[in-house]
Amino acid sequence: MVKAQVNRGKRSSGLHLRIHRRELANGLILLAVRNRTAPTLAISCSLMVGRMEEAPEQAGISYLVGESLDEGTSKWTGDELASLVEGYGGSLVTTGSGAAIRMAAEDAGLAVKILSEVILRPTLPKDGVRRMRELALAEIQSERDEPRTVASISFQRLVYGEHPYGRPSKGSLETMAAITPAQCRNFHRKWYVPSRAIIAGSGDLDPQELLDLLEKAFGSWKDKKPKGPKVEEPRELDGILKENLIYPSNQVQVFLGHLGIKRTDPDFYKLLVMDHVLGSGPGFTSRISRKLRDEQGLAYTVGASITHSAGTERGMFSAYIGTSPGQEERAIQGFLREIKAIRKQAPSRKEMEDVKAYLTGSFVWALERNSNLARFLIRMERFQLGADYIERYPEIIRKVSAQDVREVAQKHLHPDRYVLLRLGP
Amino acid sequence: MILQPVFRRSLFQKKSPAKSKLPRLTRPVTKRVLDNGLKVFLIQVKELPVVSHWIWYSVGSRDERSGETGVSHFLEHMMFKGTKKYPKGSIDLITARLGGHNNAFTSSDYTAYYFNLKSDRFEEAMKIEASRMRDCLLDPKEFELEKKVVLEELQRGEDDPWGSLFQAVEAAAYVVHPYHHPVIGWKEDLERLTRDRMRDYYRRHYAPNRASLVLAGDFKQKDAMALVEKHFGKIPAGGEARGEVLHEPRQRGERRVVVRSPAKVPRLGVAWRGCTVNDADDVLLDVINCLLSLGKSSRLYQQLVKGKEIASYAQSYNESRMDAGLFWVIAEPKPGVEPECLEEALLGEVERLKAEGPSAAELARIKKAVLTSFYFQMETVSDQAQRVGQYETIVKGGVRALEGYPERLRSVRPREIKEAMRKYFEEDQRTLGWSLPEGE
Repeated sequence: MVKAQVNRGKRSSGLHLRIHRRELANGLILLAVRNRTAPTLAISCSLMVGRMEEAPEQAGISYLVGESLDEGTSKWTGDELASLVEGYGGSLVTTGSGAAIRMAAEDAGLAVKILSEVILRPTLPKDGVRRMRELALAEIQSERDEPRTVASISFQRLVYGEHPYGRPSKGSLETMAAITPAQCRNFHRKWYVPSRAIIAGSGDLDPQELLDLLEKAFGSWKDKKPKGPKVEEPRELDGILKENLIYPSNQVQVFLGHLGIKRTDPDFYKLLVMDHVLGSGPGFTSRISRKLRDEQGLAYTVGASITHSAGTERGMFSAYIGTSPGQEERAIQGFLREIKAIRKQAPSRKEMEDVKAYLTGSFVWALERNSNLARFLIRMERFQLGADYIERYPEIIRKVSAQDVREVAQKHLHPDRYVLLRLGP
Repeated sequence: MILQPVFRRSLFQKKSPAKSKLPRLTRPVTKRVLDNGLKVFLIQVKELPVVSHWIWYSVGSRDERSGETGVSHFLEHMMFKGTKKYPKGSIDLITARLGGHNNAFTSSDYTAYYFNLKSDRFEEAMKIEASRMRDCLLDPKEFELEKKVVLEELQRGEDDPWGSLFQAVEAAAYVVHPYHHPVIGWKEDLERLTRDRMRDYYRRHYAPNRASLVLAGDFKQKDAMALVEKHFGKIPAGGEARGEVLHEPRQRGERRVVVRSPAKVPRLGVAWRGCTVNDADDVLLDVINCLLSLGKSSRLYQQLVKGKEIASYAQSYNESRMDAGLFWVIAEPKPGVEPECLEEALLGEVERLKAEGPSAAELARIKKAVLTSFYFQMETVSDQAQRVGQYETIVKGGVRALEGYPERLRSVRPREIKEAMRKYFEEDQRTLGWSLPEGE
């Protein structure tokens, strides 16, 4: 269970999560925790599959395979699968990097069976894949009506250049339209392998029982060691790259930023503290939201972060605002002023205390809701955070000094080389 | 079902409001009423050392008079801009220092404020809410600054192609009832709104006798009640009783609206006049909603997205409210499909359900699905507190009304669904809106 022990006086989070872990012979990692809050269960299967594994001319294929996983399996047709899941009051979501299922805890056996079917034995039928491809094409067109999405896609393209992360996850109308069901089946065969997968479950069920069910269902999954396209690291900018997109919206969308860090970067926690001082604190506590929203009334939505997008590949530092035309210059100057300030001077003692109190104290909320817990377990495993991560976390944060924040800001924020994307009338 | 609240800070944006109702509160709710009229609800959940603290005011855009639309939501923003005890910015800062979260939202029928905190420190939320209940400063300078933020929020909403369509359909579906106007308000009303008018509104509607406090989580009931008494007990009752609003007369004929926008994809929204939350028919409309669009086995997906392949997206919502709400069906045509073609097929699906009703097997599946889905809403203390607060604020009989829901759901027969379809889904009772590209 999510056992919450309060150990006052000890310099740990006071929270303890009993994680049950099993590594199968095929390389698959299984994780489970018990949570008695509600008679429910959530299981997530996360695969290291995505844009990095795609050839540029097949951009969008990982998305399409993910969307098509529940279009039929060796045991069930797509309709049978939908009736089954929905008839039990559950939900099944399949994505470009795996699948997640929620059911009543008493239906755990069925939940595991369904999850294993869609991950291991999808038929990716011709007609189902074609329909999913057409829906993806429709969605690409529909997204063009959303100014923030259009701006965000363009910003990523400029930040990452030729790197796969420069492409939207659905690819383009051209690449998506050209993907065939046969290519999808090949992609699935090649990349859906146990050594790239982590499965985690949380719910009101004996964790060992859940692990047994998962081992039985996924134990015979054969591993291969697929070799992917060689991907070069994304290139750093050497100056300021500006793009202005004319778009008939009321507000102007502004993204300012550059390449960021991987989740495993040793500076991650220092940057996490920096983020909360600079642009992603809760409410309007961080400098950018306080100044641009609270003090100047420039926006409803504004913020900045470098750690938020940190993953297996380098993420981005990005500052965002949606504001009325004519105000964007003030906002951009505001971003740059704050970026320069945090590079120049260490945060005040009070800022550091406030941010640390928030980061250490708010950890407990990641442990609410089974689906969040399952994702949390996967992150812990994926980034090798260690079984005692929850206990160690407060100490990691407490050790970050104001001087550290200034140093990592100097190292990772670049007010002289960035992408500036403006979209609006 | 839950209404579409407008948040002070944007949260994860779904295309639609989420369903929120539960057959039975498996955890008992204790109710107390203070002498000043404040209703208090306590729900004990011990799994994690956390507490969710909510204050619900029985006021929303439904209570706004002509010329002051948007004031409920704007006032909710101002509650973070300083009270006698808590200067601007301090509420967020205190919450952060305590490792917690707070936010607030406004709908047509209520305004809610919440804090999620560790269980050893939830008293701070009570101190803050007690101060906000009567002592919000509404500083004139802050008022003008925040007005700019709210106007940005309004513009952001107008850039959302669905948002502007929903607004146009609602405005056409309600002619005299205040659901006619959007929660965020009309732009000119907001621009003209004065600080004094907001202060009057605050005085009229914010008082202990207009509020419900809900606490869910790990606390001792006796201690919690003592804290409530300590912080809220001395606040005098005040304000006005919640006023009556104009009833919307029966609609006498289909209404159609077209919104021309820069968006390139056409979007269709059809709204039929629905019922109030917890009306005897509400559960029937919930079932109809699921028959139409719960997952890939639902009728709209099977027929429009899959079978005929004319929609790229189709969804329905039973948006029951304090006064009769709307039942929505919305859809996007697949590229190349004529809007008329989608409209005809979508209305055809509604007619088919009206004519045939659901099969026994289909209905049984939906009932099980609806019941199980309620369990997922018990996974956090915040969800549990929210459900109680919502019902207490807008449903006659309050949260107890929920207790009969599972039985009522179990008893639903196919014949009742057909009858409800005939009653609610009349052509003369619907408002149909299209968002279409400019210049086409």
